[in-house]
Amino acid sequence: MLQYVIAGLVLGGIYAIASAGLVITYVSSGILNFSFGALAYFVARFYYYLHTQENWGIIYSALLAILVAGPALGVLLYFALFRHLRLSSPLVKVVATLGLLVAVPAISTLIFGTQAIESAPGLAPQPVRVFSFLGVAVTLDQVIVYICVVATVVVGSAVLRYTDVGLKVRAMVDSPAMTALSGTSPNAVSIGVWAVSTFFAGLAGVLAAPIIGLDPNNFTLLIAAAFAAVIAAKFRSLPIAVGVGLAMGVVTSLIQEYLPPSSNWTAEIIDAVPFMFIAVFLVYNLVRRDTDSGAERVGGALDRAITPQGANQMAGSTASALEGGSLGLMAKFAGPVVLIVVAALLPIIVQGFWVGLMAQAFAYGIIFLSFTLVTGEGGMIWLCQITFAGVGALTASQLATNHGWPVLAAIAAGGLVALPMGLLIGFLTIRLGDLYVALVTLTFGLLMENLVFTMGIFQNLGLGVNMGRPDFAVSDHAFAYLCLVAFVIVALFIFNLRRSTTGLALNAVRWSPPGARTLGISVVQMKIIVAGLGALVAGIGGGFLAAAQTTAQPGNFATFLGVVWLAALVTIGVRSNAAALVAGITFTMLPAIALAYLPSWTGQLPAILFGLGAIGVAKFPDGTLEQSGEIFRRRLLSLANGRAPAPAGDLRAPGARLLAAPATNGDATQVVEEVPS
Amino acid sequence: MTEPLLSVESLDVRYGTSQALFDVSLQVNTGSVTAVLGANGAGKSTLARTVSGLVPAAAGRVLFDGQRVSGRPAQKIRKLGLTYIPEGRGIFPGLSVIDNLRMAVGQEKRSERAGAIDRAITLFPVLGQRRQQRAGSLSGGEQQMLALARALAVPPRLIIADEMSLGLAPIVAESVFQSLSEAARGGITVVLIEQFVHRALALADSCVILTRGRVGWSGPAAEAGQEVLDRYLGEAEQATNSTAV
Amino acid sequence: MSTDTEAGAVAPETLAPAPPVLEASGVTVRFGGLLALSDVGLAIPPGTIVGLVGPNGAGKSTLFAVLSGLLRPASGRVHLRGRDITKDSPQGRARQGMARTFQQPELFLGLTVREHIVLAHRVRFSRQRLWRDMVDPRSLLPSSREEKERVDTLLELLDLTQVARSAVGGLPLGTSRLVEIARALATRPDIVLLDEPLSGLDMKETENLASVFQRVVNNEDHRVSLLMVEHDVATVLSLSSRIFVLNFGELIASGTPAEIRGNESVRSAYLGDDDATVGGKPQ
Repeated sequence: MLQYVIAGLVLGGIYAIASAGLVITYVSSGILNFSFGALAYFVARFYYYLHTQENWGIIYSALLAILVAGPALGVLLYFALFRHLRLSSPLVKVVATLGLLVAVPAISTLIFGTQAIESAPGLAPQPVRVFSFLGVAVTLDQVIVYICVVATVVVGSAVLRYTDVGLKVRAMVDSPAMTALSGTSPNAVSIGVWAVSTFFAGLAGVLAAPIIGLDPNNFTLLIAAAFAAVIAAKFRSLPIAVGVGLAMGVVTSLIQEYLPPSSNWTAEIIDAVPFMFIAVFLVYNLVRRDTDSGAERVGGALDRAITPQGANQMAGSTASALEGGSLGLMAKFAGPVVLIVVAALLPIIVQGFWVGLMAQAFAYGIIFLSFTLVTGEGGMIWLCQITFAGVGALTASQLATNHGWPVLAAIAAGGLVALPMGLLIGFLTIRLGDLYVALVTLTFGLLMENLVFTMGIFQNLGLGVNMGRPDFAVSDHAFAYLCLVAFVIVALFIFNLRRSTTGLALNAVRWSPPGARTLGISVVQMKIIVAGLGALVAGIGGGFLAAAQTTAQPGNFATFLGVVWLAALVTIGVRSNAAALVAGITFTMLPAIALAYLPSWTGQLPAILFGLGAIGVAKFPDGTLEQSGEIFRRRLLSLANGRAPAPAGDLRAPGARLLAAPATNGDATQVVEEVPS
Repeated sequence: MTEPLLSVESLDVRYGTSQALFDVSLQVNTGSVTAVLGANGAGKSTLARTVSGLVPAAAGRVLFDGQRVSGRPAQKIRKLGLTYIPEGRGIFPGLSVIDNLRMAVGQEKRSERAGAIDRAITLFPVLGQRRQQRAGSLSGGEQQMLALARALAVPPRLIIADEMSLGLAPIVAESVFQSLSEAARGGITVVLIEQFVHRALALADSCVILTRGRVGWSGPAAEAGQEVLDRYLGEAEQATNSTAV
Repeated sequence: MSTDTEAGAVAPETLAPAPPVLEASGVTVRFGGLLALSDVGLAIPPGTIVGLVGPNGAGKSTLFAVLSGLLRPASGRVHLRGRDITKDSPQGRARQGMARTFQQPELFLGLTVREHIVLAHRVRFSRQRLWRDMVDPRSLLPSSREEKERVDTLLELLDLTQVARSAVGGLPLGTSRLVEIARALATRPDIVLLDEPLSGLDMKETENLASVFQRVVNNEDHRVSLLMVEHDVATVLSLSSRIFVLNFGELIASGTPAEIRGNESVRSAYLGDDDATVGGKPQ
């Protein structure tokens, strides 16, 4: 028992430090930093580089990595990104930090090399000394974790409570505007807070490395577990976050003791325990109704009063969906039609291996259309689209291979199995703020991934279950075209939906629930429609993807991989059907091209590109395709009218309407920031 | 005639697509008390927020003691001696009373901070008994006293007090006015934004009335009473020309 | 419509006024220990503009919330065309002929001005299209003639024809308010509640909106009443046929503009006089 507690406290200590780092930036800037795990990984990898690869001493490596590189990373990111996110909508905040989560590990691989590191040294000298405490063996690494946790708690609370710096931080959390009125620069305080937060990330990373190895996915999962403590603390309370973090570690460890050691389920359950914690705390908050978007606000009434408000500031320039000028419509249709023709030609132009990839690209396109529905039309960030795709793929392969269903029927059935899950999640998250929706869907994905996707019938000893293709489309060529046809059907459905009364009502619900209600439109019904359709489309797309890959491999549907999907689509454009197709092709082809023709380091470039693209939503919420399409459209229109192209300055306009929340706008009227005088 | 301490010149302020202030100009002389009156939504608070640096000006400029302050961040303007007590309690509700005061004197030399806090507490002894209490849990009147104590702990050159009597019992509002009037007698220039017209005018030397974001009238406080009433309730002739039906 | 109105046989002096479209009586609201509204009542005759005014914190917004269904009163009743709607949700009230606007316009940023009205019209008159259109490609066809006419008429009435095809995002506040009113009117309500329709507008926009209000209530083919909650008393007095004045949660006056202007308690409410400071006149 004691040995489990002692082991648990190590994990719990790392959770505690991480959740402290997450809470302080949340309370001071309203950003839940989804990239925390990636930052932790980066610093840990840097420490390993210094200490193991360059043979620096432990002390110097630790000082440089944890005390210098970590905080410097925070300051850098503050100036490059977080500063601009302060007034952004919760949606943009989530997507931008998810982009960072995708980009940072790739960047670090680019810098430090690709070798996989299974075991990394901690802060204790090798070989690690082992003490005996009450008959339990305790390593020096573990002791160092304890010391770090105690120091964090003691020093942290002393600084916050007794020093001027701590006072300013607390004041800033209360109200940035009042802080400025008291003569203290809120920006300066923010820089400090971000530096401290990434210091915690680095510390947690270096401490965790000996336990989980240097694998970015493990770090991301570790920090996702720490979200449980943050949620339990309602994102705001440092003591609760730290306490719950510690307790979670111990409880996880104790569960291990009481589960039958050799059962098939035990390993799966242990992996899922942290996410069950998240689920429990989320449900608790849901039941207590502590989840209004008010929790996502920073500061008090004054801060809200001086934050630009109101729907009327958001510029938008979509041509009418109901009736546009004929040229406007032509210009609107020209792009997608050309694109589909080009896509249709691709399987003819390319050969062999690449034809199979095209089929996958089109299948990805279908899955990406589900993001177009849920995020683009519905304005919700769902991080479990990949899970629905996985459900679709696994169901279809079971039915087709093990039960002899016709392939297309099996694929459709896969979509129909995902559908009720989408409806359920949609129903559960109706009244939640964007951040909570992201967290609930992330947790659902992680639980499915760890509890369901790991089941033997799906794993098939790690090979995945075979997935056939319809008799009439067995070749790669034929199947690629089948996927393209399916894509076009779904795209046409979305096209019609967008222009129909249903689409108008969806738009109403998205931009102003109160306004929609005054017309008698049910917000609940509308949101659930999108959720259900999104899950259905993702499930069907997943079936096609499995058929394109000829197996349904559960590992291909890992939740955090879905974040990369989201990043890829957001980079290209989350609002347009055409963008989904381009994203599908880019997502499949870029890595393959890098692998086949380019030096190996370029393999990291797609992830970096997609990550940076997602970060870019802070500036271009429409994505690049939409952006250039808009320019093209305007050129065409102005040529026809014999006028000069509309000024490029207007191009920012359509962006604001998409990912920005109705209540805030990034940079229309900013609070005066510090200007060099 | 000496230079005005605060001078607002042709100020325009926009919130998104709507404009809150149009071509507002006014001057506040050193040592004077100026009342800024107007119906809700006339732009009084916007004016104060712009002058204090919380909200950017779209056009025009603000001079404080001859220096241009428009475009500077709020903390820099505060350091020049312009203190703004915002509408709805100018305090940190989540911090204790003493921490609120510490934030207020944070810009002073370390050695002078304790003295400044003591001075503030002498002004409002009730705060002395509540040092460790969360400011947000004080009564409305005590919160305003804390806001004033924060403003006066280090005597500023100009105080802009925004609707300080809002939501206070009359007797409490009276004591808040008393403190402001003492501060004014002590040489601090005061700009009062108020809904209680008579109280504000009793204290003020001059008065500016804002109507829909413009300066509708300005002049000596003694002449302002009837003007205010006319502008609030609209007299017969005004009514006819504003909407001919 | 109830049957006992407009019975022509009644002698002029005993002619009962038309029954109110919206009537509240004995409305009391408490927030914790605070009495936000105390036994307040008002009645809005059909086809009129009615103003609800009062100083800051008087309880206007609370009463507005009670009328629009966001807040349930501790006691008192609200009737819409004689039907008790005290317990109905905002959506329920919308379906029974009550529409509202918001101080900060709640528009749908992805839609054009015209689409706002089209959507409101369809929700009211062909509700099934909300679902059917999703799978029906006929939704891509142009609108029906009847719908087009109604929408065009509304656009004209509110001076929105020029901007009909613009997205609402970049519109000035005054125009956004017009779009909200057009959207409200497209549901053919009996009453529209206007939450501070004039706040944030400049003189010209205010005058424009005021004349639109007049046009709307004088519109022959659809009789609608407007209730506006406003801070700008002067404009409300110039526009409304009847005004209700709240202060400290109580109705302190009601009557015609002239009566309100001459009312002493209204004057002192606005100048902030109260018992504690009587005599504090400026020297």
